[in-house]
Amino acid sequence: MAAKALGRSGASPRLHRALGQAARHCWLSLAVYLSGLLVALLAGVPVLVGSVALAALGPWLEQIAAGDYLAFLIEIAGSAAAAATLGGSTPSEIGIAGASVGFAILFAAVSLLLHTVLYTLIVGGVLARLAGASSGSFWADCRRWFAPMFRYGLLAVPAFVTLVTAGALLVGLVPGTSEAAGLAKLIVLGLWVGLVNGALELGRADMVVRSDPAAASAFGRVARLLVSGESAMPAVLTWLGLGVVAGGFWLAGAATVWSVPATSLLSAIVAEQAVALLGAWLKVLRLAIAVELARGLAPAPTLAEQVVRQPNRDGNNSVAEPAA
Amino acid sequence: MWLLSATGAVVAQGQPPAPAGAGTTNGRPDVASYRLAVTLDPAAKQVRGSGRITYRNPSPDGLGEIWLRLYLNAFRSEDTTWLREAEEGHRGQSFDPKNPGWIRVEELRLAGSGVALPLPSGGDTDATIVRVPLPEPLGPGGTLELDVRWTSQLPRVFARTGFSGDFFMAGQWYPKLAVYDRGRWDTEPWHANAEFFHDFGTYDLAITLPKEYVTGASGVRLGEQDNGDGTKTVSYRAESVTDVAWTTWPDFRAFTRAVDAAGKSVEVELLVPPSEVEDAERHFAAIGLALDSFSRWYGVYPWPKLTVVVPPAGADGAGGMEYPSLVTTGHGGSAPLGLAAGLRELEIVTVHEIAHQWFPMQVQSNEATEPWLDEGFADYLTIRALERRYGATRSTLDWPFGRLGYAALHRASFFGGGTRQPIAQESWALSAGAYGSTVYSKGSLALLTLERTIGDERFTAAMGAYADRWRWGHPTTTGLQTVLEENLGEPLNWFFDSFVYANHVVDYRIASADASRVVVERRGQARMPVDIRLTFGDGTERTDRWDGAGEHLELSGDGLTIAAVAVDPEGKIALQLDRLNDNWVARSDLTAPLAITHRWVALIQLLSRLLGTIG
Repeated sequence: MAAKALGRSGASPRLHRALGQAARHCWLSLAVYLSGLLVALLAGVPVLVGSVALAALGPWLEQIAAGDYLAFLIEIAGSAAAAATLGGSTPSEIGIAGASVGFAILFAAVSLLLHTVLYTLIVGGVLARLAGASSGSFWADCRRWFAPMFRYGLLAVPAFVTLVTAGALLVGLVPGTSEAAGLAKLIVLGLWVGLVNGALELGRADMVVRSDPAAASAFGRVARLLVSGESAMPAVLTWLGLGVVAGGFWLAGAATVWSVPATSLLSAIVAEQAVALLGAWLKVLRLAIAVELARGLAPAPTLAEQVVRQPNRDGNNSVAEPAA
Repeated sequence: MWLLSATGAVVAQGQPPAPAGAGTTNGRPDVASYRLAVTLDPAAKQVRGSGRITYRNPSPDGLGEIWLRLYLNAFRSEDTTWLREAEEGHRGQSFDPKNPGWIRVEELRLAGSGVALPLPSGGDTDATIVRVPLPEPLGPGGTLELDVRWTSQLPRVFARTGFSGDFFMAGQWYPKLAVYDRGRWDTEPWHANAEFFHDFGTYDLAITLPKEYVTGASGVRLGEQDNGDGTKTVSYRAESVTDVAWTTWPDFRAFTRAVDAAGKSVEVELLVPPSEVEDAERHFAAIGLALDSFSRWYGVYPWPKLTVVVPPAGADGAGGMEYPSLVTTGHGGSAPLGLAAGLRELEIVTVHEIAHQWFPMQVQSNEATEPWLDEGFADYLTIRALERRYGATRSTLDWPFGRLGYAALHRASFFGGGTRQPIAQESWALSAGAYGSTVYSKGSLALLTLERTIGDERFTAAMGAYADRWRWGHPTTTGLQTVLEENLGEPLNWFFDSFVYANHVVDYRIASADASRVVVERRGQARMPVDIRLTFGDGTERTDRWDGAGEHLELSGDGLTIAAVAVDPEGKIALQLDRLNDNWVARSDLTAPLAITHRWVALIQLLSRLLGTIG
């Protein structure tokens, strides 16, 4: 069906439509960006505490920021050797910094989880805007779609973990230990993650395009699409293309983060937040493309079947008055 | 000899200095010379040889005996002193009891008269040093010529020597005369931690082996002769050397190049396995760095040629070793995604082994009794050369996400076991772990500390003077101290008495500080000069130098507000234990904490994009 839909009307116009929607609604990137920034700032709190403690010990922080953290770890060993030989103890700031490392990792894990929840909160509103199915303010759409998207997420998260893990294992079994083989496997795995993400994005978009909050149904439709062979091809090709774009973004983004000296605060903030904003817009673009793919999946409604189903505040279906 | 000082610290009693150049004749080192003709039996893994040893008594004493070193007997069985001491192997390699090594002297006669000299057990002994009485004493300056015939069984490659498949590394492989120095023979048996000590002379070596083998040896290749029976004989000559080693393998790839060493052109032959061919340029870059740097600092490389050998896989036990004008190195480390270039294992090993061409191959200290005079020196030279090429923070590891300098790596090793040991100890007095952390790490860091305290230029000149003074001789630590003090014009007891002969530690810290005064405390027993920099509120700085007298030093701002204090701000004291207590600031600058926090935030943002936030 997707092939017919995409083939009949052509993939190119749909892609242009998606690009146009993403450009018109580029302010939606802010919502995606801010949700990511908020949780990342939370993850940064222990790092700030540890860094301020280390700043009191002298120029070590600048050296760590420049990449000399291994030498700093050696100096901690020296301080411990001095304590063992001469008495006393290592500076208390080291204990604070050490604890902050542990908390930073913990906070990072928590923030990524929290980001998943925040994303679930806003994705319905974003999709509704992109699909032209908004029923009011952005936040009203977000609230309305939160429960269905959350239920969808309960299916999507295990599916994501299972599929990505299986993909990683399969890729790992492929013979080849050279550098080129390793890089190729990494690229294949990255494209696979992009495919899985694309499929899960399609499921969310499908719910909004059909105004159908039934998460399981949307999940099932996507699964059927993927095993439909030829029908899945345009979607898969689209996701692979998006994967290549994402790969380019990743390389550029990672290079930017590493190349700007960490101690050039203003340059670092400008460069790295520009990367984050771009990443957020690319996510909006992906969602816009998902909407177009979903439109191809959804059957064209007949006059007699123009019943609008909208989730109420509890996330349950309610039947509105049929459209005239 | 060791004494206990009043404080209970271990203090070594130094040896009396010997006259310089005691081993030279007309300026040319000529004490123990060897003319050897050998045949390699690849199937039996044996070398059978005969030759003439010419020994000139360099001492004022009459000698009624000589002592022969038979190093390969250390690998005769697992019951030898050497193998019992090396219970866990040598540099990560294990001994193969099914392929032991030994050396059997079959004949030892006075040349000319043909009188046979008595050998313990008829020459078939498991000792690594044997006494051979002479029928008549050899007078001062007298010359003794001996004809010798022997068989060496090479072990499966272990502790620098042996075979692996068709690869052979012949190190310490022939009967060698021990050294008579300062009134006595060096008769200590060979220990697992110990290396070697021999007199200088001229070596002529002729090796007969199957003609498909590619060879490399100490010295200059004189020629090659096809014997018409499937074998060839390759001839080498090495002058002013204490040893000769050679290697052979049919699969070596050979590269020869002229390398500039402070204006002198040195022929370098690089022998590598086929797998290392693509790294040949990297090997040559490291060789060039070492030859040029050390020639500039400590005297031009004196021989016409240097052979550098990379052993094949499976023969790593032969790697990382020095012989006169021949070194064995190793492979570049492996790492994915182009990261191997930033892992400088190849450069470290190559530069270190070439550093040995000066210490001890020209300045022949006793590597067994004072190992720091060559190993500590070689790693100090390596730190210097690599820092000048790659920078102090990148000389060991240079990756986009982390870096490390070689001096820092040595500090890690030093903290692991070297803090409790004097540097000047016999090699066998230390456990294997303490040997590395004391001799290599503490030794090199001590020299680095001295260099940075004295000043690079002055110290390099003084070390060059030491090399000039003791070239072709046998110095001791006492001789080193004498030359350095003469050249620098100042006593260095603060250095030698604390770090070399004793196990004192050095540590200074800021005991208290505020806007008007600072108190710096000396925590360790060692007293040495230390810089203390005060930064004032108006941006100006003042650096005071404290000689470490007393336990505390109080400094005031002299009316200016003190904003920051740094003890040893330039990190001159490479041996200082705790550097984390060396700084104080009145008010922390938050720029770096904010920048680092922001980088973490940016990484979390990228990671969440990677995960795609689950569809």
